[in-house]
Amino acid sequence: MTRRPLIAAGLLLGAGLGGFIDGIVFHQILQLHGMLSARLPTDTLVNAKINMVWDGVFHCLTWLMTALGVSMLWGAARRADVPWSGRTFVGGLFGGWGLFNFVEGVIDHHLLGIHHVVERLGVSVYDYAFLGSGVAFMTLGAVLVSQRAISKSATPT
Amino acid sequence: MELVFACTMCHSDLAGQIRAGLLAGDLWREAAAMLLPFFIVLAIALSVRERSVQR
Repeated sequence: MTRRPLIAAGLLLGAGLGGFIDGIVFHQILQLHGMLSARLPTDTLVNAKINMVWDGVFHCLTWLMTALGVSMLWGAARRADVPWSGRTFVGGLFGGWGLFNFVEGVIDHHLLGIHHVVERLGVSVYDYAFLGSGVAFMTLGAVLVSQRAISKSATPT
Repeated sequence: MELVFACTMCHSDLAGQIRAGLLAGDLWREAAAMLLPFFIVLAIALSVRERSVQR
């Protein structure tokens, strides 16, 4: 028996759905930042639309991650040696979401500096809170995955 | 600036400025910023899955 295919599917789906939360909530609804807003401030229509194009590329990639995750989940469901555990899957989801927040925060917010969580503040406590959310979600995911309570009765055939 | 509706494919002045802005940027930098986090997560997920295949 191995739980790894289910965890891997959860990681990809968590990263994809977490990316959608970032893009939809922060980029579009709250408009706290755009993909390149540290380099192209969204205070002109042209800059806002250029950011919008790169936000679209970002969403294309989150969609691909989600689709890959669904594909992996489908593959895992067809294997008799993969226990069908909601706890393991949700752990993978949180792990993927946290991993994405942490990696995206380190690379985009701090190393490349192409945008920040609240753009008008630059590097701020919110960027570190974003990294903290990544660590917290990864920790929660690890705790859930480490539990051995696996529901074998629901294993698909 | 002419404030008219402009999709990124059309021939208006606004769309031209947007395309020029996209091409004038450091495309490698933007592309890296887009792709790197996804590649890292993908690599980790595939490595987790790969170990189960090798068993």
